[in-house]
Amino acid sequence: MLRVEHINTFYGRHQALWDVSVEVSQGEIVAIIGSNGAGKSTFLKTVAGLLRPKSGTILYNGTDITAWPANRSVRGGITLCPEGRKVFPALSVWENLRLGAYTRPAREMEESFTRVYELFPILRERSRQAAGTLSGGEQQMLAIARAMMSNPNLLMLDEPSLGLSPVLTEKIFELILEIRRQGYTIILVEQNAVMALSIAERAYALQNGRISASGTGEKLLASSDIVNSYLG
Amino acid sequence: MTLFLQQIINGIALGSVYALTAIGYSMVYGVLELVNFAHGNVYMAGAFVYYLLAVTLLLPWWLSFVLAVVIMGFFGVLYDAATLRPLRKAGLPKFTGLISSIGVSTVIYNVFFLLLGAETKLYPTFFEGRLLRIGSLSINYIYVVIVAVSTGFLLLLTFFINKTKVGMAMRAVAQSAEAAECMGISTNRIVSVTFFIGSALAAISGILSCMSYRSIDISVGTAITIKAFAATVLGGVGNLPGAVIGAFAIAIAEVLTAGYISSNIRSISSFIILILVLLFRPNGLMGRSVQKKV
Repeated sequence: MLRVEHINTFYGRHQALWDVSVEVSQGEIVAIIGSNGAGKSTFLKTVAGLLRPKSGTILYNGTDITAWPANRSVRGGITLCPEGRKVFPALSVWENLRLGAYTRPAREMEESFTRVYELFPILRERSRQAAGTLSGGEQQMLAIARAMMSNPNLLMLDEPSLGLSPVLTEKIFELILEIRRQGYTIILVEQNAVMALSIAERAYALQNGRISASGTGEKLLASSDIVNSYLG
Repeated sequence: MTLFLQQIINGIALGSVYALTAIGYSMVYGVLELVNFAHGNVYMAGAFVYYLLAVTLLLPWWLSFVLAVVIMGFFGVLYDAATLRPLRKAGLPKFTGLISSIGVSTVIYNVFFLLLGAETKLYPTFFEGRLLRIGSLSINYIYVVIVAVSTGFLLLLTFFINKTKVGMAMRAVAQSAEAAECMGISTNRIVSVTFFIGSALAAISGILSCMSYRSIDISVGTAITIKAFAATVLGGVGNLPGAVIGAFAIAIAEVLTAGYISSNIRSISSFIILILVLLFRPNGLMGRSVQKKV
Protein backbone atom coordinates (compact mmCIF):
# COMPACT_ATOMS: atom_id res chain seq x y z
CA MET A 1 0.00 0.00 0.00
CA LEU A 2 2.76 2.42 0.92
CA ARG A 3 6.22 2.26 -0.58
CA VAL A 4 8.78 4.75 0.58
CA GLU A 5 11.86 4.55 -1.61
CA HIS A 6 15.26 6.00 -0.80
CA ILE A 7 14.10 9.25 0.74
CA ASN A 8 16.50 11.89 2.02
CA THR A 9 14.96 14.59 4.18
CA PHE A 10 16.70 17.73 5.38
CA TYR A 11 16.09 20.37 8.02
CA GLY A 12 17.84 23.26 6.35
CA ARG A 13 21.35 21.92 5.82
CA HIS A 14 21.06 19.18 8.35
CA GLN A 15 20.18 15.84 6.83
CA ALA A 16 17.75 13.96 9.06
CA LEU A 17 16.91 10.95 6.89
CA TRP A 18 19.43 9.06 4.78
CA ASP A 19 18.22 6.81 2.00
CA VAL A 20 15.28 5.47 3.97
CA SER A 21 13.06 2.84 2.36
CA VAL A 22 10.00 1.43 4.08
CA GLU A 23 7.15 -0.73 2.88
CA VAL A 24 3.72 -1.09 4.45
CA SER A 25 1.00 -3.50 3.36
CA GLN A 26 -2.73 -3.09 3.83
CA GLY A 27 -3.97 -4.03 7.30
CA GLU A 28 -0.66 -4.40 9.10
CA ILE A 29 1.00 -2.60 11.94
CA VAL A 30 4.50 -1.50 11.05
CA ALA A 31 6.63 -0.24 13.89
CA ILE A 32 9.44 2.26 13.51
CA ILE A 33 11.70 2.13 16.51
CA GLY A 34 14.81 4.02 17.46
CA SER A 35 16.23 6.31 20.06
CA ASN A 36 15.49 9.97 20.51
CA GLY A 37 16.55 11.96 17.46
CA ALA A 38 16.92 8.92 15.21
CA GLY A 39 14.57 10.44 12.66
CA LYS A 40 11.34 8.61 13.48
CA SER A 41 9.11 11.68 13.63
CA THR A 42 10.87 13.14 10.59
CA PHE A 43 9.99 10.00 8.71
CA LEU A 44 6.29 10.26 9.60
CA LYS A 45 6.20 13.97 8.79
CA THR A 46 7.75 13.27 5.41
CA VAL A 47 5.13 10.64 4.61
CA ALA A 48 2.37 12.97 5.89
CA GLY A 49 3.52 15.77 3.62
CA LEU A 50 4.57 18.13 6.41
CA LEU A 51 8.15 17.83 5.17
CA ARG A 52 9.25 17.40 1.59
CA PRO A 53 12.10 14.95 0.94
CA LYS A 54 14.96 16.28 -1.14
CA SER A 55 15.11 13.07 -3.10
CA GLY A 56 13.39 9.70 -3.20
CA THR A 57 9.76 8.82 -3.83
CA ILE A 58 6.72 7.93 -1.79
CA LEU A 59 4.21 5.70 -3.54
CA TYR A 60 0.76 5.22 -2.10
CA ASN A 61 -1.39 2.60 -3.81
CA GLY A 62 0.78 3.12 -6.86
CA THR A 63 0.42 6.93 -6.92
CA ASP A 64 3.44 9.14 -6.46
CA ILE A 65 2.52 11.33 -3.48
CA THR A 66 6.01 12.71 -2.77
CA ALA A 67 4.95 16.26 -3.58
CA TRP A 68 1.55 16.16 -1.86
CA PRO A 69 1.10 18.79 0.84
CA ALA A 70 -0.34 17.64 4.17
CA ASN A 71 -3.94 18.57 3.45
CA ARG A 72 -3.91 16.55 0.23
CA SER A 73 -2.49 13.53 2.05
CA VAL A 74 -5.27 13.70 4.63
CA ARG A 75 -7.86 13.83 1.86
CA GLY A 76 -6.09 10.87 0.28
CA GLY A 77 -6.42 8.82 3.46
CA ILE A 78 -3.09 9.31 5.24
CA THR A 79 -3.40 10.88 8.68
CA LEU A 80 -0.69 11.60 11.21
CA CYS A 81 -1.42 11.73 14.92
CA PRO A 82 1.44 14.00 15.98
CA GLU A 83 3.91 13.49 18.76
CA GLY A 84 3.02 15.01 22.11
CA ARG A 85 -0.73 14.72 21.38
CA LYS A 86 -1.09 18.38 20.35
CA VAL A 87 -4.80 18.50 21.09
CA PHE A 88 -6.24 22.01 20.77
CA PRO A 89 -6.41 22.78 24.51
CA ALA A 90 -8.94 25.63 24.41
CA LEU A 91 -11.30 23.81 22.07
CA SER A 92 -13.85 21.34 23.38
CA VAL A 93 -13.42 17.63 22.84
CA TRP A 94 -16.25 17.78 20.31
CA GLU A 95 -14.58 20.64 18.42
CA ASN A 96 -11.27 18.78 18.36
CA LEU A 97 -12.99 15.77 16.84
CA ARG A 98 -14.96 17.92 14.43
CA LEU A 99 -11.72 19.41 13.13
CA GLY A 100 -10.29 15.92 12.76
CA ALA A 101 -13.00 15.46 10.14
CA TYR A 102 -12.17 18.82 8.52
CA THR A 103 -11.68 17.25 5.10
CA ARG A 104 -14.81 15.08 5.27
CA PRO A 105 -18.24 16.07 4.00
CA ALA A 106 -20.74 17.08 6.70
CA ARG A 107 -23.10 14.22 5.93
CA GLU A 108 -20.50 11.68 7.11
CA MET A 109 -20.06 13.45 10.43
CA GLU A 110 -22.66 11.50 12.40
CA GLU A 111 -21.17 8.20 11.34
CA SER A 112 -17.60 9.25 12.16
CA PHE A 113 -18.60 10.43 15.63
CA THR A 114 -20.43 7.17 16.32
CA ARG A 115 -17.47 5.11 15.19
CA VAL A 116 -14.99 7.06 17.29
CA TYR A 117 -17.19 7.30 20.40
CA GLU A 118 -17.70 3.55 20.30
CA LEU A 119 -13.96 3.06 20.51
CA PHE A 120 -13.43 5.84 23.07
CA PRO A 121 -16.61 6.09 25.17
CA ILE A 122 -14.91 8.45 27.63
CA LEU A 123 -14.75 11.10 24.93
CA ARG A 124 -18.50 11.10 24.55
CA GLU A 125 -18.85 11.85 28.24
CA ARG A 126 -16.30 14.63 27.98
CA SER A 127 -17.46 16.02 24.65
CA ARG A 128 -18.22 19.51 25.95
CA GLN A 129 -15.12 19.80 28.10
CA ALA A 130 -12.08 21.82 26.97
CA ALA A 131 -9.46 19.38 25.72
CA GLY A 132 -6.80 21.03 27.89
CA THR A 133 -8.63 19.89 31.03
CA LEU A 134 -8.39 16.19 30.13
CA SER A 135 -5.84 13.88 31.75
CA GLY A 136 -2.77 12.83 29.76
CA GLY A 137 -4.27 9.47 28.86
CA GLU A 138 -7.54 11.01 27.79
CA GLN A 139 -5.70 13.57 25.69
CA GLN A 140 -3.83 10.79 23.93
CA MET A 141 -7.12 9.02 23.24
CA LEU A 142 -8.52 12.27 21.91
CA ALA A 143 -5.50 12.74 19.66
CA ILE A 144 -5.92 9.25 18.19
CA ALA A 145 -9.69 9.67 17.92
CA ARG A 146 -9.23 13.04 16.22
CA ALA A 147 -6.89 11.47 13.66
CA MET A 148 -9.44 8.71 13.05
CA MET A 149 -12.19 11.24 12.36
CA SER A 150 -10.65 11.81 8.93
CA ASN A 151 -11.44 8.18 8.22
CA PRO A 152 -7.89 7.38 7.15
CA ASN A 153 -6.70 4.35 5.34
CA LEU A 154 -3.24 4.70 6.84
CA LEU A 155 -3.03 5.93 10.43
CA MET A 156 0.38 7.08 11.64
CA LEU A 157 0.85 7.29 15.40
CA ASP A 158 3.84 9.19 16.70
CA GLU A 159 4.83 8.08 20.21
CA PRO A 160 1.34 7.37 21.53
CA SER A 161 2.77 6.12 24.85
CA LEU A 162 4.83 9.26 25.48
CA GLY A 163 4.46 10.41 29.07
CA LEU A 164 1.85 7.79 29.99
CA SER A 165 1.97 5.38 32.91
CA PRO A 166 2.58 1.68 32.12
CA VAL A 167 -1.08 0.89 32.78
CA LEU A 168 -2.27 3.60 30.42
CA THR A 169 0.33 2.62 27.84
CA GLU A 170 -1.07 -0.89 27.88
CA LYS A 171 -4.57 0.47 27.44
CA ILE A 172 -3.47 2.58 24.46
CA PHE A 173 -1.77 -0.41 22.85
CA GLU A 174 -4.93 -2.49 23.29
CA LEU A 175 -6.83 0.26 21.52
CA ILE A 176 -4.28 0.30 18.70
CA LEU A 177 -4.81 -3.43 18.23
CA GLU A 178 -8.56 -2.87 18.20
CA ILE A 179 -8.15 -0.14 15.57
CA ARG A 180 -6.12 -2.53 13.43
CA ARG A 181 -8.82 -5.20 13.79
CA GLN A 182 -11.23 -2.69 12.30
CA GLY A 183 -9.16 -2.72 9.14
CA TYR A 184 -6.88 0.27 9.48
CA THR A 185 -3.26 0.13 8.46
CA ILE A 186 -0.98 1.59 11.09
CA ILE A 187 2.55 2.93 11.25
CA LEU A 188 3.57 3.09 14.86
CA VAL A 189 6.55 5.13 15.97
CA GLU A 190 7.70 4.30 19.47
CA GLN A 191 10.57 4.61 21.86
CA ASN A 192 8.93 1.87 23.86
CA ALA A 193 10.36 -0.71 21.46
CA VAL A 194 9.38 -3.87 23.32
CA MET A 195 5.70 -2.91 23.36
CA ALA A 196 5.77 -1.74 19.76
CA LEU A 197 7.57 -4.82 18.45
CA SER A 198 5.22 -7.13 20.30
CA ILE A 199 2.16 -5.85 18.44
CA ALA A 200 3.77 -5.09 15.06
CA GLU A 201 3.83 -7.44 12.11
CA ARG A 202 6.98 -5.85 10.84
CA ALA A 203 9.38 -3.26 12.08
CA TYR A 204 12.20 -1.00 11.04
CA ALA A 205 14.91 0.29 13.33
CA LEU A 206 16.22 3.77 12.65
CA GLN A 207 19.63 4.89 13.79
CA ASN A 208 20.98 8.35 13.04
CA GLY A 209 18.51 8.74 10.22
CA ARG A 210 19.32 5.43 8.56
CA ILE A 211 17.51 2.11 8.59
CA SER A 212 19.76 -0.16 10.60
CA ALA A 213 17.55 -3.24 10.80
CA SER A 214 14.21 -4.49 9.59
CA GLY A 215 12.12 -7.61 9.75
CA THR A 216 9.23 -9.12 11.64
CA GLY A 217 8.48 -7.80 15.08
CA GLU A 218 9.57 -11.06 16.66
CA LYS A 219 12.82 -11.12 14.75
CA LEU A 220 13.79 -7.65 15.90
CA LEU A 221 12.67 -8.41 19.41
CA ALA A 222 14.84 -11.53 19.45
CA SER A 223 17.89 -9.72 18.16
CA SER A 224 20.05 -8.82 21.11
CA ASP A 225 21.68 -5.93 19.20
CA ILE A 226 18.41 -4.17 18.76
CA VAL A 227 17.33 -4.81 22.30
CA ASN A 228 20.59 -3.44 23.58
CA SER A 229 20.74 -0.36 21.41
CA TYR A 230 17.14 0.71 21.64
CA LEU A 231 15.82 -0.61 24.87
CA GLY A 232 18.83 -0.13 27.07
CA MET B 1 -23.15 64.24 35.57
CA THR B 2 -24.46 65.09 32.14
CA LEU B 3 -20.97 65.91 31.01
CA PHE B 4 -19.77 62.60 32.38
CA LEU B 5 -22.49 60.60 30.59
CA GLN B 6 -21.87 62.56 27.44
CA GLN B 7 -18.21 61.67 27.61
CA ILE B 8 -18.95 58.01 28.23
CA ILE B 9 -21.17 57.94 25.15
CA ASN B 10 -18.42 59.53 23.07
CA GLY B 11 -16.06 56.97 24.54
CA ILE B 12 -18.30 54.09 23.53
CA ALA B 13 -18.49 55.34 19.95
CA LEU B 14 -14.73 55.82 19.80
CA GLY B 15 -14.24 52.46 21.51
CA SER B 16 -16.30 50.69 18.82
CA VAL B 17 -13.96 52.06 16.17
CA TYR B 18 -10.88 51.04 18.13
CA ALA B 19 -12.38 47.61 18.78
CA LEU B 20 -12.87 46.84 15.10
CA THR B 21 -9.25 47.71 14.42
CA ALA B 22 -7.84 46.04 17.53
CA ILE B 23 -9.59 42.78 16.62
CA GLY B 24 -7.70 42.62 13.34
CA TYR B 25 -4.41 43.10 15.18
CA SER B 26 -5.30 40.46 17.68
CA MET B 27 -6.50 37.91 15.14
CA VAL B 28 -3.34 38.16 13.07
CA TYR B 29 -1.21 37.96 16.19
CA GLY B 30 -3.16 34.93 17.41
CA VAL B 31 -2.64 33.02 14.20
CA LEU B 32 0.84 34.16 13.14
CA GLU B 33 2.39 35.68 16.27
CA LEU B 34 3.03 38.72 14.14
CA VAL B 35 2.46 42.33 15.12
CA ASN B 36 1.10 43.64 11.85
CA PHE B 37 2.36 47.21 11.64
CA ALA B 38 0.61 47.79 8.32
CA HIS B 39 -2.78 47.41 10.00
CA GLY B 40 -3.21 51.10 10.76
CA ASN B 41 -2.53 52.07 7.19
CA VAL B 42 -4.97 49.43 5.96
CA TYR B 43 -7.50 51.33 8.08
CA MET B 44 -6.45 54.58 6.41
CA ALA B 45 -6.52 52.99 2.95
CA GLY B 46 -10.02 51.62 3.57
CA ALA B 47 -11.29 55.07 4.47
CA PHE B 48 -9.61 56.57 1.39
CA VAL B 49 -10.90 53.91 -0.98
CA TYR B 50 -14.42 54.71 0.26
CA TYR B 51 -13.66 58.39 -0.31
CA LEU B 52 -12.45 57.74 -3.86
CA LEU B 53 -15.50 55.65 -4.70
CA ALA B 54 -18.12 57.83 -3.06
CA VAL B 55 -16.68 61.31 -3.70
CA THR B 56 -14.48 61.01 -6.76
CA LEU B 57 -16.44 58.35 -8.66
CA LEU B 58 -19.80 59.38 -7.18
CA LEU B 59 -20.95 55.83 -6.52
CA PRO B 60 -23.82 55.39 -4.07
CA TRP B 61 -22.64 55.30 -0.45
CA TRP B 62 -23.72 51.70 0.22
CA LEU B 63 -21.96 50.40 -2.86
CA SER B 64 -18.85 52.38 -2.02
CA PHE B 65 -18.93 50.97 1.49
CA VAL B 66 -19.27 47.35 0.39
CA LEU B 67 -16.66 47.73 -2.35
CA ALA B 68 -14.16 49.48 -0.09
CA VAL B 69 -14.50 46.81 2.59
CA VAL B 70 -14.21 43.92 0.13
CA ILE B 71 -11.30 45.53 -1.73
CA MET B 72 -9.41 45.98 1.52
CA GLY B 73 -10.22 42.41 2.54
CA PHE B 74 -8.63 41.12 -0.65
CA PHE B 75 -5.80 43.56 -0.23
CA GLY B 76 -5.09 41.91 3.13
CA VAL B 77 -5.01 38.47 1.51
CA LEU B 78 -2.67 39.72 -1.20
CA TYR B 79 -0.46 41.49 1.31
CA ASP B 80 0.02 38.25 3.23
CA ALA B 81 0.52 36.12 0.14
CA ALA B 82 3.05 38.49 -1.43
CA THR B 83 5.10 39.66 1.54
CA LEU B 84 4.59 37.32 4.49
CA ARG B 85 3.94 33.84 3.12
CA PRO B 86 7.33 33.62 1.34
CA LEU B 87 9.03 34.37 4.67
CA ARG B 88 7.08 31.63 6.43
CA LYS B 89 7.84 29.22 3.63
CA ALA B 90 11.54 29.93 3.93
CA GLY B 91 11.25 29.26 7.67
CA LEU B 92 12.65 32.68 8.59
CA PRO B 93 12.29 34.00 12.13
CA LYS B 94 9.03 35.78 13.00
CA PHE B 95 10.52 39.26 13.26
CA THR B 96 11.21 39.25 9.52
CA GLY B 97 7.43 39.42 9.04
CA LEU B 98 7.34 42.44 11.29
CA ILE B 99 9.91 44.22 9.13
CA SER B 100 7.89 43.27 6.07
CA SER B 101 4.74 44.74 7.61
CA ILE B 102 6.53 48.03 8.28
CA GLY B 103 7.58 48.06 4.62
CA VAL B 104 4.04 47.44 3.42
CA SER B 105 2.81 50.16 5.75
CA THR B 106 5.22 52.65 4.19
CA VAL B 107 4.16 51.65 0.68
CA ILE B 108 0.45 52.11 1.45
CA TYR B 109 1.12 55.48 3.03
CA ASN B 110 3.09 56.78 0.08
CA VAL B 111 0.73 55.46 -2.55
CA PHE B 112 -2.14 57.41 -0.98
CA PHE B 113 0.11 60.38 -0.44
CA LEU B 114 0.84 60.43 -4.17
CA LEU B 115 -2.79 59.89 -5.09
CA LEU B 116 -4.40 62.38 -2.76
CA GLY B 117 -1.74 64.59 -1.27
CA ALA B 118 -1.29 65.59 2.33
CA GLU B 119 -4.10 68.07 2.88
CA THR B 120 -7.13 67.27 4.99
CA LYS B 121 -10.29 66.53 3.06
CA LEU B 122 -13.93 66.80 3.93
CA TYR B 123 -15.34 63.32 4.44
CA PRO B 124 -18.91 62.46 3.41
CA THR B 125 -21.09 61.51 6.34
CA PHE B 126 -24.71 60.94 7.30
CA PHE B 127 -27.14 62.87 9.47
CA GLU B 128 -24.94 65.94 9.18
CA GLY B 129 -25.16 67.69 12.51
CA ARG B 130 -28.37 65.95 13.57
CA LEU B 131 -28.57 65.06 17.21
CA LEU B 132 -30.52 62.46 19.10
CA ARG B 133 -31.75 64.02 22.35
CA ILE B 134 -32.35 61.88 25.42
CA GLY B 135 -33.12 64.08 28.41
CA SER B 136 -30.28 66.53 28.70
CA LEU B 137 -28.00 64.33 26.61
CA SER B 138 -27.47 64.95 22.94
CA ILE B 139 -25.95 62.21 20.88
CA ASN B 140 -24.69 62.65 17.37
CA TYR B 141 -26.64 60.29 15.08
CA ILE B 142 -23.48 59.05 13.43
CA TYR B 143 -22.36 57.72 16.82
CA VAL B 144 -25.48 55.61 17.00
CA VAL B 145 -24.70 54.25 13.54
CA ILE B 146 -21.10 53.55 14.50
CA VAL B 147 -22.03 51.64 17.63
CA ALA B 148 -24.75 49.68 15.84
CA VAL B 149 -22.57 48.74 12.87
CA SER B 150 -19.60 47.82 15.05
CA THR B 151 -21.72 45.72 17.40
CA GLY B 152 -23.28 43.97 14.41
CA PHE B 153 -19.92 43.05 12.93
CA LEU B 154 -18.49 41.98 16.29
CA LEU B 155 -21.45 39.65 16.84
CA LEU B 156 -21.07 38.28 13.32
CA LEU B 157 -17.40 37.65 13.95
CA THR B 158 -18.11 35.96 17.29
CA PHE B 159 -20.56 33.65 15.57
CA PHE B 160 -18.13 32.95 12.75
CA ILE B 161 -15.25 32.11 15.06
CA ASN B 162 -17.22 30.00 17.50
CA LYS B 163 -19.75 28.23 15.36
CA THR B 164 -18.38 27.66 11.88
CA LYS B 165 -15.91 25.07 10.73
CA VAL B 166 -13.49 27.66 9.36
CA GLY B 167 -13.74 29.69 12.57
CA MET B 168 -12.96 26.56 14.55
CA ALA B 169 -10.00 25.92 12.27
CA MET B 170 -8.77 29.47 12.93
CA ARG B 171 -8.76 28.83 16.64
CA ALA B 172 -7.04 25.49 16.03
CA VAL B 173 -4.27 27.06 13.93
CA ALA B 174 -3.71 29.64 16.67
CA GLN B 175 -3.24 26.85 19.21
CA SER B 176 -1.14 24.46 17.18
CA ALA B 177 -0.47 25.07 13.52
CA GLU B 178 1.28 21.75 13.15
CA ALA B 179 -1.60 19.72 14.58
CA ALA B 180 -3.99 21.68 12.37
CA GLU B 181 -1.91 20.75 9.31
CA CYS B 182 -2.13 17.12 10.42
CA MET B 183 -5.94 17.43 10.27
CA GLY B 184 -5.70 18.54 6.66
CA ILE B 185 -6.30 22.20 7.49
CA SER B 186 -4.30 24.39 5.15
CA THR B 187 -2.73 27.01 7.41
CA ASN B 188 -2.12 29.31 4.46
CA ARG B 189 -5.83 29.38 3.69
CA ILE B 190 -6.69 30.05 7.30
CA VAL B 191 -4.15 32.87 7.39
CA SER B 192 -5.73 34.31 4.23
CA VAL B 193 -9.17 34.23 5.86
CA THR B 194 -7.71 35.91 8.93
CA PHE B 195 -6.16 38.69 6.87
CA PHE B 196 -9.36 39.15 4.88
CA ILE B 197 -11.46 39.58 8.01
CA GLY B 198 -8.89 41.69 9.86
CA SER B 199 -8.35 44.06 6.94
CA ALA B 200 -12.06 44.32 6.14
CA LEU B 201 -12.80 45.23 9.77
CA ALA B 202 -10.00 47.81 9.72
CA ALA B 203 -11.55 49.36 6.60
CA ILE B 204 -14.98 49.49 8.22
CA SER B 205 -13.43 51.08 11.26
CA GLY B 206 -11.57 53.65 9.15
CA ILE B 207 -14.67 54.62 7.18
CA LEU B 208 -16.85 54.98 10.29
CA SER B 209 -14.22 56.94 12.13
CA CYS B 210 -13.65 59.40 9.28
CA MET B 211 -17.43 59.79 8.98
CA SER B 212 -17.64 60.80 12.62
CA TYR B 213 -14.77 63.30 12.29
CA ARG B 214 -16.11 64.45 8.88
CA SER B 215 -12.58 64.65 7.61
CA ILE B 216 -9.70 62.51 6.45
CA ASP B 217 -6.01 62.99 5.99
CA ILE B 218 -3.06 60.80 5.27
CA SER B 219 -2.01 60.46 8.92
CA VAL B 220 -5.18 58.85 10.34
CA GLY B 221 -3.57 55.42 10.16
CA THR B 222 -0.61 56.39 12.30
CA ALA B 223 -2.67 57.35 15.32
CA ILE B 224 -4.89 54.29 15.19
CA THR B 225 -1.91 51.95 14.85
CA ILE B 226 -0.68 52.93 18.27
CA LYS B 227 -4.10 53.04 19.94
CA ALA B 228 -5.34 49.75 18.57
CA PHE B 229 -2.03 48.19 19.52
CA ALA B 230 -2.39 49.55 23.05
CA ALA B 231 -5.93 48.16 23.21
CA THR B 232 -4.71 44.76 22.04
CA VAL B 233 -1.94 44.59 24.61
CA LEU B 234 -4.26 45.84 27.30
CA GLY B 235 -6.76 43.08 26.60
CA GLY B 236 -4.13 40.36 26.25
CA VAL B 237 -2.62 39.87 22.83
CA GLY B 238 -4.42 37.26 20.76
CA ASN B 239 -7.51 37.41 22.95
CA LEU B 240 -10.50 38.77 21.02
CA PRO B 241 -12.89 39.66 23.85
CA GLY B 242 -9.83 41.17 25.55
CA ALA B 243 -9.13 43.34 22.51
CA VAL B 244 -12.70 44.69 22.58
CA ILE B 245 -12.56 45.43 26.29
CA GLY B 246 -9.13 47.00 25.88
CA ALA B 247 -10.44 49.17 23.05
CA PHE B 248 -13.33 50.52 25.13
CA ALA B 249 -11.07 51.10 28.14
CA ILE B 250 -8.56 53.08 26.07
CA ALA B 251 -11.28 55.08 24.33
CA ILE B 252 -13.14 55.98 27.52
CA ALA B 253 -9.91 56.94 29.28
CA GLU B 254 -9.11 59.15 26.31
CA VAL B 255 -12.41 61.03 26.21
CA LEU B 256 -12.46 61.47 29.97
CA THR B 257 -8.98 62.93 29.86
CA ALA B 258 -10.02 65.19 27.01
CA GLY B 259 -13.22 66.22 28.79
CA TYR B 260 -11.91 66.83 32.27
CA ILE B 261 -8.25 67.68 31.85
CA SER B 262 -7.28 68.78 28.38
CA SER B 263 -7.77 67.47 24.89
CA ASN B 264 -4.11 68.15 24.24
CA ILE B 265 -3.10 65.24 26.41
CA ARG B 266 -5.92 62.85 25.52
CA SER B 267 -3.57 60.32 23.95
CA ILE B 268 -1.33 60.26 26.97
CA SER B 269 -3.96 58.48 29.06
CA SER B 270 -3.94 55.43 26.81
CA PHE B 271 -0.20 55.13 27.18
CA ILE B 272 -0.36 55.53 30.93
CA ILE B 273 -2.85 52.67 31.04
CA LEU B 274 -0.66 50.64 28.75
CA ILE B 275 2.40 51.17 30.91
CA LEU B 276 0.48 50.29 34.08
CA VAL B 277 -0.83 47.10 32.51
CA LEU B 278 2.61 46.10 31.32
CA LEU B 279 3.96 46.71 34.81
CA PHE B 280 1.27 44.92 36.78
CA ARG B 281 -0.43 42.50 34.39
CA PRO B 282 2.00 41.94 31.54
CA ASN B 283 -0.24 39.28 30.01
CA GLY B 284 -3.00 41.84 29.65
CA LEU B 285 -6.32 42.02 31.46
CA MET B 286 -7.58 38.77 29.97
CA GLY B 287 -4.19 37.26 29.24
CA ARG B 288 -4.70 34.27 31.51
CA SER B 289 -7.77 32.90 29.86
CA VAL B 290 -6.67 31.38 26.59
CA GLN B 291 -10.16 30.01 26.04
CA LYS B 292 -11.16 32.31 23.22
CA LYS B 293 -7.73 32.85 21.77
CA VAL B 294 -7.69 33.06 18.02
